[in-house]
Amino acid sequence: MLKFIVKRILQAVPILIGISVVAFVLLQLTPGGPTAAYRGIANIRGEDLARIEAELGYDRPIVAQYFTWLGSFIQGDWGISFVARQPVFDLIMERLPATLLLMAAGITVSLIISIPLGLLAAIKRDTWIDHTLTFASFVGLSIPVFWLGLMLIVIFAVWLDWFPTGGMGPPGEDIDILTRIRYLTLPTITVSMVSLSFFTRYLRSSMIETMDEEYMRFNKARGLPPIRRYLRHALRNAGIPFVTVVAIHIPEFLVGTLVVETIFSWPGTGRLFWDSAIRFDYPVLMGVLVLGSLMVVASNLLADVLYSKLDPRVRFD
Amino acid sequence: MMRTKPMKRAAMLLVVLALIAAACGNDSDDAATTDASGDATDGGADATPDDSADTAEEPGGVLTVGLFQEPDNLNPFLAVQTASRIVRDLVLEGLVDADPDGNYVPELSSVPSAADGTISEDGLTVTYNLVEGTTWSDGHPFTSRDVQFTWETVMDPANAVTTQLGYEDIESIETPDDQTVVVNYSTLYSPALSLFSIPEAILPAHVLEGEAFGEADFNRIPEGTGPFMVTEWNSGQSIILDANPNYRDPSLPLLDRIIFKIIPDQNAGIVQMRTGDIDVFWNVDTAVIDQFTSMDGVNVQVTPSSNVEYLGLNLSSGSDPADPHFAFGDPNVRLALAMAIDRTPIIEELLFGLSEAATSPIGLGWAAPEGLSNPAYDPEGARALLEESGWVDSGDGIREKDGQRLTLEITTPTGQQVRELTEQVLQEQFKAVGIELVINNVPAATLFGNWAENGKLQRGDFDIAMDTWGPDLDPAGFLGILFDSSSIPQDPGGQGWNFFRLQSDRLDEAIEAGATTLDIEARKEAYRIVVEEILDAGVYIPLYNRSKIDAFSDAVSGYSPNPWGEVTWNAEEWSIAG
Repeated sequence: MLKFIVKRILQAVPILIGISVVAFVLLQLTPGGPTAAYRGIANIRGEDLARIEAELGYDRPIVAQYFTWLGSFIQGDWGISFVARQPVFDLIMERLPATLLLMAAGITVSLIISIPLGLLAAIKRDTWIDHTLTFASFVGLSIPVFWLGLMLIVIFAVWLDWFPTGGMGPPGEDIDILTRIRYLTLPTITVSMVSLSFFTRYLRSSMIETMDEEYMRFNKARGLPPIRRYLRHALRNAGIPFVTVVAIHIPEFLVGTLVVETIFSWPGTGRLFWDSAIRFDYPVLMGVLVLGSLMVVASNLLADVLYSKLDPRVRFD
Repeated sequence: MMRTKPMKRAAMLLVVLALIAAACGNDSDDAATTDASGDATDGGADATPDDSADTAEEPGGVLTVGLFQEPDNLNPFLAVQTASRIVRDLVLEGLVDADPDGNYVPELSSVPSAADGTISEDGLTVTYNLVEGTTWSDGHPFTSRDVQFTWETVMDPANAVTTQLGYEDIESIETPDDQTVVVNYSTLYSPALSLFSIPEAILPAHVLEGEAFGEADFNRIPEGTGPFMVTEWNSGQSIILDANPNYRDPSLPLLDRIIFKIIPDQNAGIVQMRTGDIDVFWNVDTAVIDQFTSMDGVNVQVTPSSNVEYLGLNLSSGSDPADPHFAFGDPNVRLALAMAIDRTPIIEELLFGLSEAATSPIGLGWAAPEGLSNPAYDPEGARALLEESGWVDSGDGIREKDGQRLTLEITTPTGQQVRELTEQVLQEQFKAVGIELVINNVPAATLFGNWAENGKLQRGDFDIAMDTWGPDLDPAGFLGILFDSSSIPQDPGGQGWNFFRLQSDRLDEAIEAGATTLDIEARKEAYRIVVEEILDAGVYIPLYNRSKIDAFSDAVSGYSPNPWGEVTWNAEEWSIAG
């Protein structure tokens, strides 16, 4: 197992390097170049731009720039934000807890809702309950995230005034759990809607597949009570691919937070990425991109490990 | 084996819960907070316990300002965003400041002048007498060394500051004593008085010496001499400023605390203004202004600005100033264009009557010439001028000459509603005199890109550009970069922004004259000639003066408009009721 994990981590290294090369080159090719951020100053002179470019090291060949970046990155020096004039690593770490909180809330809510619904749909297969749930999850999958977010704000924050329009809490005050949940509710619903629908559908079909297996019919013939058949035998087997799918799906939440954080002024890495993109803050963009890639690789690894743990037939050696 | 699995699941759930709890926990402890150094605040409070206790408690109060843009950083030599100045101007101070009329007034120093000899006759030596008894908010004394250090920092090649303009003309700075600064210039820099002051400020030597300037904590939590000090910056959420207990005027500021709340979305800002979550909303977009004017308990403050919305005419057919434009090569056509414009519907309908017609590229401040007016709106006269120049109706209402239709292309950055509507108004007005106007808006990066990026303005790839620009308190830099013939961008390199491709010896001489003396009367005269030349050439058609519009809750009092400062320029005098 350990050997497998080490092997997978080693395999991830060239992937991450590849991603960083592509990202680095693409950013450099953006119109405006690395000093685009400074063009916002009305009377900035050409010579000032040239001086800044040289002082920040952006007049060097791109290959040399990349290796300097990579060398420092590995040592934990992720560069300095053009915009905030602070170390990139600190800026990202400052924002990461907010994103992790939103992701964790999103995943938890998705699971808490989708597992019972998926089971229900599978058990009540082809009844009106199943059809309603299938239709509902189809709608959930089709709703654009930004539209859902804006609608929730309009209805629940602006009209009904039940929840705040955005942010993580009132500024300058200590924030208790209840306040936090109030601020968290709308973003969490938005970020979990797609996954929630997807998980429900996935669990339903996975359950149905398992329930059609011969041993399930045998269990029924054996006279086992339904609750025991469904939860202990069917869910147990249907749950193996489901867990894997959930783990692989984690990066989707990361992508979801990008949109949701921007709509709800949620101060996480997603909004940091968006703000940095419109302000041409290359070092921060690189940092967030690589961190995001790391999270994707880690989720895939997690999926593999969970799979082997849950399914005794699977062994990696 | 069967028994351990639920346990593992439970453990996983615990991990997730722990994660949530960690992120949920008290915001100011772990999430996204950069705290000001505790010693600084404590030390300050100890130094003058009586002052702060008395003055802070009487009027007091907390005020929340909504910012749709998060400041990039609060370092005056590194920041680009306007929002940065709005926040840092409460914390950092310059040697002098500008009053609403555009005159220099003392801040950390008295204002140098030729009259009392603090500006030498040749204008190369400027002496500042610093205000006595000023300390930084941590109690450390403010001295001449701080000024000297600021200059050294700006000129240090490791620091990548946004501008060295003017600072590079300084040869040396002497500090004969703690209260006196003598700045020696190698060449005369006419806006010398704005250096170290507007929009920059003095840096604290005792905090920054030996620090890595480009990534110092100072850039977020600056140490200043101003009425407030930054105590918290919650990235992406808010910046919190508390009254500086060591401020040199113990009766100010009136407020205890100002919270800058980051609200990236204009609509969210409107909602929060209505619910009272914010007391001040900075920079209201013209398109949504009626949402604020119709709100109970909210008033809209209009502050004039030096920015002028104008039409820039390209005198060349492309980038080569020697190759005249097919229509604008003829002064009659330029004048006809100016006479065809009626500014009233633009100002009344599109700007809700909140701006005034502009008459000059320098509309405000000491350098603004008085008594100017635009060519009167006269479509009949415009038609006559065009006829006179041989532009005759081609049969469909659009004029032509030698088979060339009078079709002009107007360009402005995309995505700005008021400008797009203005273009449509102009389209109608020009059509009435037989000129066809084609709208071709492009992204700002394409329009303002530099020569190498094929920027439309620099490359001369346009007929008419609608743009906004305005002078700083000292117009020398603005005039040089926009109107001097040496600023015509052309092959190779393409520096400068004289995209009108206007060449006039009298203009160049007047710009030079204004930039080579510190004698304010001589400069006023020079700039009167500059403006006259620009307007006579007819390449710059001023449309309207852009106003800055901010919304205030009726509970807030003390604001007075200052075109040369940002909305918070006098926030130390603000108070809030209730």
